[in-house]
Formats: sequence, C-alpha cells, structure tokens
Amino acid sequence: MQILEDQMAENYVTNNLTIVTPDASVTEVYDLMQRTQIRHVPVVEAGKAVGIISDRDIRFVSYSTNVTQLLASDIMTSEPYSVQLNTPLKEIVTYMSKKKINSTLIHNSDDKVVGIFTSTDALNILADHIK
Amino acid sequence: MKFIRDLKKTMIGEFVTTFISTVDESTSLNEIQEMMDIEKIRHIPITSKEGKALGIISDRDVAVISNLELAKKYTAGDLMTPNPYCVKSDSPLREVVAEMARKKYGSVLVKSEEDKVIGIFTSTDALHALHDLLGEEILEDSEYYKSFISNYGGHS
Repeated sequence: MQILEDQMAENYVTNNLTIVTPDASVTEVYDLMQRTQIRHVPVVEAGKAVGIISDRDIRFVSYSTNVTQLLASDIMTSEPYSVQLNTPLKEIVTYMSKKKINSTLIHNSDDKVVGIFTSTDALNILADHIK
Repeated sequence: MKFIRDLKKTMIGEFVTTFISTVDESTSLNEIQEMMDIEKIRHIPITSKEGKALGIISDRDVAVISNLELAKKYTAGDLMTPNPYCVKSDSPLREVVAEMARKKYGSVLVKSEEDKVIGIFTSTDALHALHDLLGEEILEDSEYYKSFISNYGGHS
C-alpha cells in the first residue's frame, strides 16, 4: 500500500464522479445531492469544471421567490480550486487548510475533471491513521 | 520546523476554537453578520438560556441567505441547522473525526460537563491536523497551532 506521505491527487480519481451542467436547474441539483448524499457537486462544461456547488449553497434556495428559474450557474462558486493528477496530497491539504475550503477538483492533462478531494476524505484519512 | 504530536491520545478539547459569543433564536441575520465580521469567526452557535446548543449557523449560510430578497425577515432560529452534533470536550479526537467522516458533518460543537457550548471543531481544523500528520510545516496562524502552543508552550 502506498504510504500516505506519497499520495497524489490521482488517488482520488473516480470513474463515477457526480456532476451537473451549468444549465441544470437548481431543483435538479438539490434532488441529485439528496439522492446521492454528496455535499459537493462540480459544475462541468465540455469536460472542464467551471464551478462547484456545495450543500450550503443550496440549502436556502427554497427561500428564493424565483427558485424555479435558478440554474446551477447562478449559485455555483466559479473557478474552483483545481489541481493536476500529480499534485501531492500534502500540497492539496496545505492549500485547503490555509484557504479554509472544503473541496479540490482534480483535472487530467486534457483539462477534464476526473476526481474530487473533499474535507470528508481528509476526515477519513485522519480517522484511519489515528486508530 | 516539524510539529510532533501523538494524535491517538489527543482529546477534542485540545483543538477547540472557543466561542466568544453565542446568539439566541431571535437574533437577526444582520446582527449575526456583524458579529462574524467583528470577531472574524465563521460559525456561531444558537443556544438556549441555559447555554445548551439548539443549532449552528455558518458564514456560508449567512452569505447565501443575504443574497435573497427576503433576507431581512429571517432570524437565527429560521436559518440555523438544528440539532447540531455535540461532543464533550474530553472525547477522543479519533472518535469525533470518525463520526464526522461517517455522517459527513462539517463541524462539531464541543460542550462542557454542564452541557454548555464552549467551542467548535470544524473540518478545517481536521485539515490542519492532517496537514501535520503528512509531515508538512505547521501553519502558524492555525487554531491547531495556537491550541498546541497554549497547551504545551512550544514545539519540537
């Protein structure tokens, strides 16, 4: 097994990354997050992540009077923090803890989003290593 | 500079960011926003008169709701995430972290023996701890570092 210190972003590449497109309705995004129980959804256009939506962004959408007209692109955080496959996990964790962000998107050399590392992954690593 | 610490023996209380302020359910969104700005904090607990945790509100919640046209009519009680996950300050870090990972909680409130809310441990604090575990240099501005310095008075 690869030791923790040598891990890179590529360890968090997944074949079934849950994504939405910028023109997805907010209600679709909400339903998707509820169904899949995920807290961060990349907003992807032509393979590249153009934004990210967290459960916090979407929690209050029902308070809005124009909720049925809102799109993913209206509520996403644009230009999410993104790294390459060979970025060391150490670097990702350092950046996330300094900037107080909860997710990092992973792009391959073709600039396609292929994975995500979240604070839940960080909690899982910590839990495994301090057993 | 390296930062060595045995996380297996660490209690959650050692990582807690102590709250200066709490609010009740009737506090307005504006007041909460001002408190967050002045105290430079990202979470505020909503407590009962006895100091028990009723809910929590984050800066993200406030930012999102502030953009909505009906923002002014809402108070802390409307906006809080109710029934927050709470632990005693002597709970082992490993247990709390494992539970946060399992349930995907972004934060945990820490309470005293008397059941009063005293502080918070967030996923960012967990990232600081992982950062250390990975052997990187410690972030000197982190609550994690400050907590270590205040508890142990130095580093190795």
